[in-house]
Amino acid sequence: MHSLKSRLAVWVFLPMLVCSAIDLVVTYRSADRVATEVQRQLLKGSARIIAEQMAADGGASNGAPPAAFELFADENQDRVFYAVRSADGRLIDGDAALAPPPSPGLGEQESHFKSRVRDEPVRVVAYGQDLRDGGHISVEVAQTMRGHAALRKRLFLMTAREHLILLALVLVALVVALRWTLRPLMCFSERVAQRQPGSLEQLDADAVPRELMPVIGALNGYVVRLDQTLSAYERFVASTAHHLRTSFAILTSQLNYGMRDERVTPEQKALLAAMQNTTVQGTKVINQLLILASIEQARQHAAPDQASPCTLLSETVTSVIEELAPLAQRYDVELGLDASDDGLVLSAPSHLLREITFNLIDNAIKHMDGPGSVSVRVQRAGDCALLRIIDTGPGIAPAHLDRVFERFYRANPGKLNSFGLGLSIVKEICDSLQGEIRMGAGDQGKGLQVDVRLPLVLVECQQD
Amino acid sequence: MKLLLTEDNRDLSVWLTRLLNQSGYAVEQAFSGEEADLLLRTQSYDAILLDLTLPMLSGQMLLRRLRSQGNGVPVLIISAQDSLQDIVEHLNLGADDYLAKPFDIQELEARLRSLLRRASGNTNPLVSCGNLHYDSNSKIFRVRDQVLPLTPREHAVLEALLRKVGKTVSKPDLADSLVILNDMVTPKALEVYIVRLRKKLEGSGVAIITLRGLGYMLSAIEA
Repeated sequence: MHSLKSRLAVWVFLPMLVCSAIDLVVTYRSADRVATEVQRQLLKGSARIIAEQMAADGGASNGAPPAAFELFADENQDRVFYAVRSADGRLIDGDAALAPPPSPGLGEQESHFKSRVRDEPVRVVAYGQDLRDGGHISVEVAQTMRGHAALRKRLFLMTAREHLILLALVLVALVVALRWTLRPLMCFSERVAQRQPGSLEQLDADAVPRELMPVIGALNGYVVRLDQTLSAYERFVASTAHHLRTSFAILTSQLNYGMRDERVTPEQKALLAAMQNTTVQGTKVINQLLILASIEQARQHAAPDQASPCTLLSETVTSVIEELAPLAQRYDVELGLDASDDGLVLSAPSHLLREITFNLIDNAIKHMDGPGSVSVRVQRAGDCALLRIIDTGPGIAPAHLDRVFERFYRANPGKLNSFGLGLSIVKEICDSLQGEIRMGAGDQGKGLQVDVRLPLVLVECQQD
Repeated sequence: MKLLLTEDNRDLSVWLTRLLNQSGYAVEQAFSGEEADLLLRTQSYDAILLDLTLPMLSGQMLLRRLRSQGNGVPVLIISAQDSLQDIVEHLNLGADDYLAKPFDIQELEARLRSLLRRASGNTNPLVSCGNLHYDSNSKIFRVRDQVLPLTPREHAVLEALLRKVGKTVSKPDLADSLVILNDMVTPKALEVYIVRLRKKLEGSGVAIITLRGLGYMLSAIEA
């Protein structure tokens, strides 16, 4: 994982930093040169004053004139030394600690070099002066390096500060520019992230920078191919289901015919009835698989702005309870609607709500060991409709609770006529309706309580 | 009664024909839409059983053609596609009823009977639930042809339940059905009538089911 932003930032900022560093080195050296030049000029000026004074005095040692040292500003507490030597190197005046110039010049020549006086580095300027009597003296003036260093530092810092300000400006501009130019990319990735899982919608290529077009093109191409594959798969499922149903229809007709035949013995009749029951179960599985396929299909082709059908939850629940009443009677289960808020409107197709309710109540009845009761409640819970189904059956062991929503998972594999699809259908419908389902123990830890929360209609929807 | 069975699967067609013959219907078979179309030009039928996925001329096309010709013969669609959308679509096209494959012959015959009854314009005075039959002309309840003796109040309650068979009737609504007898019925009294009715209906394959919070419902049960 790497971020485009940081990459871009690094590749813009690093070269700038290197340039700056090189420039600072160059600046340091030129500051040094300037400071040296200034110092040299001062020392030379001072040496000339002394030399001219000496020449005027005819080579006598009368001490250096004060004017020679007024040139040096004293703010850095630099020390100044001077020495006047005759042509043969004899010290005429000044400080003996000052070493003689390495090559004593002739005539009015100036040379400068670095030296040390009492272990302190100094810069020395030597200035030759011819006397009127034909003699020659050499004047050396030396100054410690503090002033030089201070000037160099001041010059260097001035430039460095400018560099820092420039770098800061570039950094700010870079951040702003990155934010601004990369925003379409961020928007795009957000749009992709916000798509419903499994959505096969085409991505909109409007208002997207040219650089992203290949990505969108590739994604859309992929979606088209996936859609084609899935459509082929759906057609396959539909035609398989069609053939299976037709075969089952023939089988059912044959069984019906056989059972009506008067020559059939009771034993044969029982066998035919058992076969018929198997056919009914097989049909149920086909239907359940088809429902799963249709939920998947609905999810993939869901257009967000499409007007959804409007369904009254209490109406659906009541009709399911009526439908299941004979089953409850057969299982000796008391079935009832304990609370019913008749004003709860959901934006969901009624056949999906029916499927949820039917599967849950059917499950509750069939998993009851012996007589018991199943209570259904339809009520409002905030922005959601709450469908609560409580039974007094054996409940589901906590170990199974996490897995009961998996396809073909059965908490009780010994149970006949169950394929473990009902609850997974319920779960997938809940997910597709942006609802949630929770299962837990009922009152006082006994039985099973199932809570289904489905979002209530907030916008206008179509009457189904 | 003469039926036209339009079904491209020959096996299914053969077996359905045998079953319907058993029940006393005369059945003619068509294995394609074209064939059915030809037969419909020359023959008249009391009802058509129509499969949707037919070769050449599809069931939808046949139905549309039939209705556009002003032929109002009752059509019962039998199809292996049974999404809710399909059902609504075909009922809108002019089908009278819809049955998804596979179906039980009893279901098919029940649908056929009600279809034929509606078509004959004769509101059958006979209302049934399982083995319980009520003749609204003679006002007599019968269980398997045996007259069910009822008091006037029991009669009123059972009639109210039978008129909404398979649906719940709330206690207040049920109490209202007794008002015509100039009775003020307390909920307690209503329960007494229900208990008595249940006793009389024992073994009939019909039961009055209590649905807590909803009311009472009459339903055929497996004995």
